[in-house]
Amino acid sequence: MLIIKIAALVLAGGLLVLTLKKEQPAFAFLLSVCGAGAVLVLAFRQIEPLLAFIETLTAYTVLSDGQNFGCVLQVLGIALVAQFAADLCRESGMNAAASAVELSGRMLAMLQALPLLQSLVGSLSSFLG
Amino acid sequence: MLANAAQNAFGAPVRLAVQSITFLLLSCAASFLVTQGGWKKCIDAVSVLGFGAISLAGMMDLVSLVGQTSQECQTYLIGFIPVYSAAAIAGGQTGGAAVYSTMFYAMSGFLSGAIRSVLMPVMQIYFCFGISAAVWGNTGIAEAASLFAKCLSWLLKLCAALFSFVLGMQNILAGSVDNAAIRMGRGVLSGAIPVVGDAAAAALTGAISAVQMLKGSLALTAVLALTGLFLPVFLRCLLFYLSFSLAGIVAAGSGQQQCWQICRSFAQGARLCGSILTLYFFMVFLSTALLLLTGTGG
Amino acid sequence: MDIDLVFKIAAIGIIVAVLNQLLIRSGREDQAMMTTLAGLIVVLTMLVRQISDLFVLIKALFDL
Repeated sequence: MLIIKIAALVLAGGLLVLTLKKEQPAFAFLLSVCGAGAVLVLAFRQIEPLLAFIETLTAYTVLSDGQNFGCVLQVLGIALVAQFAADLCRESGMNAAASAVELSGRMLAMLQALPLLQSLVGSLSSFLG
Repeated sequence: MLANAAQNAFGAPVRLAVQSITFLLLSCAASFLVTQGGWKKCIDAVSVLGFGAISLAGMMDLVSLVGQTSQECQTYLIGFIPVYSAAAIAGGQTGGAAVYSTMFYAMSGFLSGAIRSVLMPVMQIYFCFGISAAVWGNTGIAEAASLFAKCLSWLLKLCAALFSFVLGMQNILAGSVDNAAIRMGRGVLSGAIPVVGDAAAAALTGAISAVQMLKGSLALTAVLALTGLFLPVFLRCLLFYLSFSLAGIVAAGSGQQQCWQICRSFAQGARLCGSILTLYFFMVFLSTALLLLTGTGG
Repeated sequence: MDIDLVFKIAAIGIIVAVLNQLLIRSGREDQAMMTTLAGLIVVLTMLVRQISDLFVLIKALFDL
């Protein structure tokens, strides 16, 4: 089972990080980054075969002007990556950078959702006017 | 041709239902993946935007279709009424024919114009307010949307009362004392708003007896033509109502409150559209039936 | 590959820590500093490739 593999991996990784933390904090940080990245890669590789299925599902929800659920998917991706980066910053003690990463992630997500908002406002105005 | 008509009537609502349910399920999965508060709100907002765009596109078509149908009905009646009153005059019912041609013509013209220029814009404003209320989460806008719904029902009641008044006057002027038709008219009009199902059921039993009397008459062809005009659009309204209710169930089940709000208000709107159509159709039907009942007396 | 990478980095880290302590105890602190830096650079090059693979995967999944 993959989840047991992941749990064992983070257990071993945590132990090694604690060993290295006092003497070589930089190595400990790199180790934890590598552990988190390995867990994510393991999880996302499971979803990869479902990609075609998700593509057909999103093709069902196509609007008249081409927007579809792909927009929500992109915002989701931005959210996940920004969350990961902010957590990495906090791990190495850069709280200010973490807040900055989160803020920029939110702004970029809003920018990504802008075409959706534009199409909604456009259809509202054409509806009324 | 029947398959084509069925495709026309059922294609859009079914497609809307499939689209919205797929969208809701996918956005539920997306909101599962994001757990932190700020990001969750972000994902929810974007999915509500997308869902609102989907539903609005569907409802725009419906509203324009309802307006178009009432317009077509009006043009048909413009052609039909002089022919019918001429036939009634030839049959010796000059008074009834005059009453029919003037009052009914004025009434149906007024109602069709009212549908096109007052009721449909109010309906559009109601839909827009419904979406804005859900997207921006402002309770003030939500109150305004429900106010518009109440305003629509009130307008419908007003039209129905006006028409029952005209029907009564038409009756008195034409000198008929046909209680069955009046009872039928009252029964339909009191139940027509906004619960369409009861009205259709109540009127149908009365309509069957009227149809038996309308057999072999000019009015029968007119009524059938009008039914052919109305029935697909009415079925479409009903299917839209069903698909929005279904999508609302999926939204409520997956915990997306704003999408559920949109579904609920749009289902209400579809129901109101259906009841507007029913009102118009039964008005025309009952006037013609009434005239025929007074005409066969002569 | 990714699971082995964690242990490889841990091994390099432990070796560098031990070498660091030895060099500091024997008085060559600048060389200790350079060993640490060299170890960090090696680990970083190994890691960057994996992290870029991760981000390419995310890009493909979410269509970013």
